[in-house]
Amino acid sequence: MAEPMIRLSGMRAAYGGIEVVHGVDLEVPQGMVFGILGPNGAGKTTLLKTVCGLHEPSAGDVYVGGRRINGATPDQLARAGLCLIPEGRGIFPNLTVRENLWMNTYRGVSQRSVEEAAFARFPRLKDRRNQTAGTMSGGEQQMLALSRAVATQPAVLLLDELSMGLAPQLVEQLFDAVVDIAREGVTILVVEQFAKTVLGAADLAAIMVAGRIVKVGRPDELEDELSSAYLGDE
Amino acid sequence: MSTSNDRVEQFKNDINSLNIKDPSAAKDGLWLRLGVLLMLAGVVVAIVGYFISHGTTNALEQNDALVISIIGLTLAVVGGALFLRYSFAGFMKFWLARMIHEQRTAGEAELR
Repeated sequence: MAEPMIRLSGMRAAYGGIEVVHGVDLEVPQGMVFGILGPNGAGKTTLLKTVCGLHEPSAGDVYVGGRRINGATPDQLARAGLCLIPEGRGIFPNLTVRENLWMNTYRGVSQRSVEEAAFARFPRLKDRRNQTAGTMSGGEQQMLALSRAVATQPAVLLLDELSMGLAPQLVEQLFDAVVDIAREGVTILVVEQFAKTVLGAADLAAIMVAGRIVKVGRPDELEDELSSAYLGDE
Repeated sequence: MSTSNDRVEQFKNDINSLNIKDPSAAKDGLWLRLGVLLMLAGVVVAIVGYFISHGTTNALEQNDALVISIIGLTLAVVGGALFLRYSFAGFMKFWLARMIHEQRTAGEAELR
């Protein structure tokens, strides 16, 4: 069996003395969309931050591409091709669309090719290329965040609450783009509070509750577990 | 497909070639404590030098005491530099994070 692109082994994470992720074991296969679902405060975002080097695990190991990366800095991982789109999109609201795209030329990709790749995926951004990013709609901002990330040709993409504050139709459109990106060989780990949106796009998913992974499986296997995960057992 | 495989292989190679510092080997706190220790020890050594010098009329012994005091002062200066270096690094990390957060919040509020 092929080596998973991301593997967490007994990973724990804490803020100060308060542990929020309690020994997670997880394998994300290469080239798949893997969803992590769970209610608010389950530790999903902390898990993502730990994978991309923004938060140091307090115990356990994080492997990416087969290598243990505990202690790697976010910029080292970003340069290699691991890209995070944080909750809130992480764009620069007072820069234009083009300037936002240019910010992602750190991997040696030219401004022109970043723009071409972004506009090919989301033509709407081309019409808005000289508009200040903060004045665009939430969906367009998320398109910008996604296209900016993809333009750097990442091998691993981490998405935190892609659907937050967006209309269902836009969310569907964005997740279609996510599936397309995965088809190009990019491994995608997506964290979502709103489960239905992810289950339609993910190849595999895990339910996370109170800092623990309670179930991993195909989306159709998890649907029954969702209500108890979100609302608690009777 | 081969292009994506190439990209994945390149990613794995890049990840494997990263120079990752083992987090358990992070010695910032240790250097900070060493700095404080050196500052205190340096001052004590300098004072000891003073008393050695004060307790003798032998010029050679007084010279030795002078050297001891200078060593003490040097230790205190080195300790002070270590303390400043590592305490400032911690402070600057939080200051930078706070500044980025405030600028982002202000930028978003301005555009709303």
